[in-house]
Amino acid sequence: MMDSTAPSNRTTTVPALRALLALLLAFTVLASACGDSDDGETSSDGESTDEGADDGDDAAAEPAGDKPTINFVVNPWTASALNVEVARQIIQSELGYPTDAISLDENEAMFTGLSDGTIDAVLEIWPSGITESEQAFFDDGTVVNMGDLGAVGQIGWFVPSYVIEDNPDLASWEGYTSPEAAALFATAETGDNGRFLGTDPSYSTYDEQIIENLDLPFEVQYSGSEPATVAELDARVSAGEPILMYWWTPTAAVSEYDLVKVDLPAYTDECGTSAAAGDGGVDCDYPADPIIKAASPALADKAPDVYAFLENFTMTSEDQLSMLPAVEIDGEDPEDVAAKWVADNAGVWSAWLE
Amino acid sequence: MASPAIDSRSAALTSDIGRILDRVKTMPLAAWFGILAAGVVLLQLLFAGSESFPARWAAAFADPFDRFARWALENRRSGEPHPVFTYLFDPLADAVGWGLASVESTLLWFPWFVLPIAAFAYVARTRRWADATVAAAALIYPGLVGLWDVTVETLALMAIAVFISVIIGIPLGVAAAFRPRFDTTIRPVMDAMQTVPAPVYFVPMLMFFGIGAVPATLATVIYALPPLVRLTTVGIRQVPTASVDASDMFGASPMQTLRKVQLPMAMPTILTGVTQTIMMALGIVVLATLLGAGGLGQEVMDTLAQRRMGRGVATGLAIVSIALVLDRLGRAAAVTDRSVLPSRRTVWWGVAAVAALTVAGRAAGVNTFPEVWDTKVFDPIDDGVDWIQENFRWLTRSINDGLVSWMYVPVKDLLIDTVAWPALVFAGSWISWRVAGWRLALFTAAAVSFIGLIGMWELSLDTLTQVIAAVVVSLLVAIPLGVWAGRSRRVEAALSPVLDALQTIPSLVYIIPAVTLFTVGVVPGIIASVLYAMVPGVRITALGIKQVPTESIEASQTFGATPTQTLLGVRLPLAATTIMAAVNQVIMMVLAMVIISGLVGGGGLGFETISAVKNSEVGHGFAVGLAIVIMAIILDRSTQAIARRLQPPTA
Repeated sequence: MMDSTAPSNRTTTVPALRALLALLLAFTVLASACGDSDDGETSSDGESTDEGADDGDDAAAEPAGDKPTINFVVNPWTASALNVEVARQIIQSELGYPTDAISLDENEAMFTGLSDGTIDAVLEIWPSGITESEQAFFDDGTVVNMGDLGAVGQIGWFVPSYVIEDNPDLASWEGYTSPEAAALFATAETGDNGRFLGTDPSYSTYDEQIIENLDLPFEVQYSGSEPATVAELDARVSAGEPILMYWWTPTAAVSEYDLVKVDLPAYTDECGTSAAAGDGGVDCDYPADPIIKAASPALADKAPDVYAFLENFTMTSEDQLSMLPAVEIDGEDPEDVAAKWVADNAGVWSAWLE
Repeated sequence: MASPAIDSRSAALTSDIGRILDRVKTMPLAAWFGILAAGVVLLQLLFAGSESFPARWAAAFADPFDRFARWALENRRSGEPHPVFTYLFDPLADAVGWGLASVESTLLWFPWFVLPIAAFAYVARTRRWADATVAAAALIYPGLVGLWDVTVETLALMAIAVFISVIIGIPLGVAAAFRPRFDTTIRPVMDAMQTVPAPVYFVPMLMFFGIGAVPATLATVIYALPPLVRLTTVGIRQVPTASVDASDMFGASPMQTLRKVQLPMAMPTILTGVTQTIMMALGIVVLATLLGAGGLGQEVMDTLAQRRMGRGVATGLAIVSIALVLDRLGRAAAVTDRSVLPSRRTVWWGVAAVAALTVAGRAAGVNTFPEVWDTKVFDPIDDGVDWIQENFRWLTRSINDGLVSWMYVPVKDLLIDTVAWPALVFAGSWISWRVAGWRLALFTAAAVSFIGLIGMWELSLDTLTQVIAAVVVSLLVAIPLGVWAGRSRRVEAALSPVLDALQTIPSLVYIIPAVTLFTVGVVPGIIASVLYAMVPGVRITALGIKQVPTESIEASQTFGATPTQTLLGVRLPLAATTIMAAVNQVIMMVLAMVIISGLVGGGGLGFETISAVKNSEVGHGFAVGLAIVIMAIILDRSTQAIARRLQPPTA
């Protein structure tokens, strides 16, 4: 593949290239100089709610003015993006801080980022997914628990409602012990076992343990990413075929695809202890997850008003569900959907600023 | 300090052993197969019940890495960072981060119409008007569909990655051109760097730099560097000695000769290297989302999660347009023929005009792109995918189940559940011995056992099964297509744009629709690997067929051979070496796609890599990466050896 053109025998230079480079360099200097002054103007005006997101990105590229940039984490699910967009738009318009959103997985790196202040806040942490080493960050105060978000999540096993209509036994886990149930969900790859569709590996899951400990003839197949999970769900539902999968509420897909949660053995404290310790003994349902917010301890000094605002910040499951379908089903941008919510709910969020 | 006598004696001994061991290679094929079968059966009986490799070292291997990663996490930025971070990694990360931010803000600062005009002018100065138009159009496209901001993020990553590659690569290449010993030292390293699938670099990056655009940029550099170093070396060496001697005679110092004679004369070759580096870098831009790089890759993932295939295609085309812009600019930069280029004066006038436009645009406040369209123009694609899904799913699902039940599951069961591990290690080494000699055989035995010991046995066999399936399907498609293209110019012309598109459009764009058509599992990954890997397969096969001397073909025709006889008896055998090179490329490309399969349910090493990166499991990530590397090295070396053996002795 090395097609090396024979060099011409004349000594050559590339004047245009050099000129272009010089020009680029000049403009880089100019751009950074002008960028600063532009930014100063916008942050002193401190308005423009609609374009909030764009302003934030500009500001992130060239932090300037007297107020520091507030960095939020967006995890790879829609509700996380919506919480952050709502918070960013209010902070930018009412408190006048530039903000930025960083896409990260929910893992220990995120907690490290919070503890060292490279990230300021995360607005959606699911307690059931917090590992022991992550809990240590809360315990020694290197990451601050900012209280409940308001939304209560529930992870679980879900099937489309028609599966239960056809086989009422499948409403509860006992129905999944039979080989017939396994055959219903089996694929060419799982053979005699039924397939349980797992998801993105960064999400906290106990499905393998539950299957093992309840002795179900199923096996977990990880889709590897959420796009793949949704594609598979859509394909199966549109063909009216059965599917059993890891999913959660609040999400738009539950109503869009009419998903029903399967009853697993009720959550117990021992089961929760087992999950936290990682000893493989989980044999119960996922607990209800009162979602919490977290912040870097440095934020209290960096921006006390933002810190106070985030302590008050609330997004209930209903709030999230009022926005989720627009993004997940209609494919609108989270920025626009959040902007609409902000415009419609001034009465709700003005209280968070006091 | 060994004495020369001992040295020569040990050399003689080594060569004796080598000669004895190499006798296996000349053993009659039947005997060779006999020993292979007997050995496997014997070991199978001896080790019945030990199908899976005892993963004795799994924990012992991962622990030090995990401990080191924890140490790195604790000593990075927080509290009192270790000097390694304060003085090396952090300044490096800060510099790269600053570079990314400034390129991004500069590109966004320009009024939107200036960049296409400047690109047009720069290419047009070589009087290639079609290229100039393509470059300008490719810069306008992302803005037209409202993706300019995200495209700039990716462009910035590319620009900085290529910049760093040039700063490191050219000096390395120059040094290798002048110091043969340095060349022989870095050559195997470069070889290895090109064999290793890119995501393997993600894990160490994660450890030292955390998550974000900075580690993604640096991983891109490592991946994209080798072609630049190689082509720089080649370029410098190609400079005629006469020119160098002349320069010496005029009393120029070696440094002056390098700067004034050798580098300028090698420039076209070096620029080819830069273009190659750019293409390699683009190839992993989407995967860089795994490290939180943002940009177009993240956009592709997000739109696919919302099942907006049309928007996914629109975003994929933005990546293609970056490739087009950089390629056309690179080609224009490589033109050094003074008779074509405009005078220096004209160039400065052009620069001044662009500057004036910029100032005027800024003054008029025409900064952001007028969003003429939206990605909505691509929405019909969504309906198309739905339509195909409704009408052809019966077919695609049968293909899926057939591939899984008749190919994947039986092979996987055979390798994982039926054959005992010592028999597999023996078979692997024995085959390497036959095709490549005893060095590779020893390496195979040791490395494959190592894979087992670090607990990657079953995952690797799962991935190996998928790789075999993908390679077989790719070759079944690529070799006939390549032969056809090699014999007909028209077919080749028709295939060429399709092949280009397959290589630049990120496979994630078409792999998610593949999930709806087939199902979550190994098949979408295999399909994507086939589409990606068949490209070099077709190209190189066509090249091999075209290179067959016309005399040989005419000779066979005069003897009254039918076209089929000519093809089977003359063309294919004479092109065999080249076709084997195609096989080698196909295998390497399929291995590079292993991680993509992990994103759609392929499991195996690909899924484990993603899982390790996403959950910051460094030790596990290293083990997975090593398994992929070992597999890549064995497959690469053995197919290369076969290619060499097929070479006609005259060559």
